[in-house]
Amino acid sequence: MIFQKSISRTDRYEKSPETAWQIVDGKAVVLDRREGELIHFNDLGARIWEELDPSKSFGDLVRILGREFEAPQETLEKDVRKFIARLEKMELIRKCGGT
Amino acid sequence: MEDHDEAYRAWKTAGLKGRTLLHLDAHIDFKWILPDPESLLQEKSIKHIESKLHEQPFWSLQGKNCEDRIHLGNYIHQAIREEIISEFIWIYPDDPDVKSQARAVGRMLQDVSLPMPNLFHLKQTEPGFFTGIFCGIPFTAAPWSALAKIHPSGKILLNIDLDFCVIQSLYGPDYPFGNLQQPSFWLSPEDFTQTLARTPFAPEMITLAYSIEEGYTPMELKFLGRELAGRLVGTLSLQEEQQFFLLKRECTEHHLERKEEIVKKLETLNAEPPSAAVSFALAKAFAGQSQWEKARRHYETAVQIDPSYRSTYNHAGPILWDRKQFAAAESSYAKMKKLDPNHPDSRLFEIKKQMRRKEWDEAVWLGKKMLEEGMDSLGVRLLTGEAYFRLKRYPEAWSLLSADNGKYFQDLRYLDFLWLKVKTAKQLNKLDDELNGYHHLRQWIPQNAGIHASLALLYLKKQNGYKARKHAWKAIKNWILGLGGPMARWKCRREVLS
Repeated sequence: MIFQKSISRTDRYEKSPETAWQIVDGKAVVLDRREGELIHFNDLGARIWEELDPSKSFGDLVRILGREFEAPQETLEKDVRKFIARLEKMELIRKCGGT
Repeated sequence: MEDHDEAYRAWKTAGLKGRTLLHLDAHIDFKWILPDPESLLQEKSIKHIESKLHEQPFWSLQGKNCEDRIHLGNYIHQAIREEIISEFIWIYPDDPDVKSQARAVGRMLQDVSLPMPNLFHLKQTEPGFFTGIFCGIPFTAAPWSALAKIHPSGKILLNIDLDFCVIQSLYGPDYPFGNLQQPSFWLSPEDFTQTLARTPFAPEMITLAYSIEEGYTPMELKFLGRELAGRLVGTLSLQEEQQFFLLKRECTEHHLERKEEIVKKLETLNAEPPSAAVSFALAKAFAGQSQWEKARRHYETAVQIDPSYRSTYNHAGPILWDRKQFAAAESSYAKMKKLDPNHPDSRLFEIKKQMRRKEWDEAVWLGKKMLEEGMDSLGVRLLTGEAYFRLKRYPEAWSLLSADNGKYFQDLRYLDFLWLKVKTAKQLNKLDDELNGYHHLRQWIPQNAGIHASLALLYLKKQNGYKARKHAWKAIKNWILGLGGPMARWKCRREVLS
């Protein structure tokens, strides 16, 4: 994929101030004011979104989710990495610390 | 009231629901208001959110809520959404050319239904008489002469715009304004009230707007609104009857000697106590005779009694300028400057004049002087910023344009301001500011293929392939389907007006 950025375990992310969100039906409904779009995430996506906070690194996120979802650590880390990269490209989150 | 959207606030304050709106206006006052983003998040389930989105296929979310985005051109949509109105009857002015008028009304109905054609199903049953479903509720559009054929049900809200009496041809060269050079009226308040009295309508509430501030009703005809209000509620005094009679004769009389005679009578009648409308009419009449001392004195009296007479639109200059009738606009401004030498609009006009002559340095000097004297406004910043831009002094232009923080968003020229800001950011290679500017513009003009194409290029520069592709696709889609695109107009013609 073009323009792919790598994510390290110490990277930290924050939600863009252009977003507003709510958990509806167990799913995260995120409003992207800048694009004028409403996006919803499944239960794993919703948990990642809920936990996204500048105080938690990417590694912390994977650890927290690993306790809640029964999946091999490697698969989970790969999925979370992919999801975070996508959110960053969508400008719903931005990097605020780490390498 | 001055602006017609105040009617919506009056209905809301009164807690009205399910009323029939009898809207007498030269404009339909219905434009689509995009949905309120925060309200979507309050829905109970994803299904509810999706059903709300389904109602708005061309939806785009804006930062402001619906209430903040109400203005005199769209308040009826919000009143329908809030179920204040359950039937909408639009009575438009009569014009001798019935066919042209009907075509103009048909075009307007098509335009307002473009964002959501399947909520509108209208039929033209006879020339100019449209009935059907409009934004989900029963609707009729008919000329004033067909008022007797209208049979509304339920409680009626009578909603009048004074421009109804002033603008006769909805297809005329001056539309949406009245006759710019010779302001007059096609329907007098007496005829209006007499015709209305012959109908069985007993309105629960009457709202009446002057609409001077956007230039739709000329200031010299504001008195018609006072007269109409007085006649509708039956409170006109004998002196007012005389004044309104003479004022109407003054603006319809073309014979010079008879006109002077009317002016003399008005002067006698205005001695004690003076009225703003008569004083303003006298100021205009004496200005026409170049009696500037007298004219200025009457103008000052008018403004003292009613400060709204110092409006931007107290003469036709601004509209004439926008319509590129530059010579007529200049002479109109020159007259108003003699009546009111310190009016900020006269100073702004001096900058516009210099810019038209491409005297950019002079325009910058005048603009800076206004800002130094504390006359800070969007108009001054826009014109001075543009003059700097033309001089390729981009950093100075940017410092003027970047200080807005959205505080000017209600100004009609705000879009021009945003465009200039984007162009200046581009020259200064401020990629993020340019991107922000286009996103801001996209909120105002949601289905613009050009804006999405620019966003696609900027994201490509930012190496964000995901967003670049997304906006490129939107550019293509909007070009084909978007508002004003070839498919949209065809689809609307097919679905809305059968």
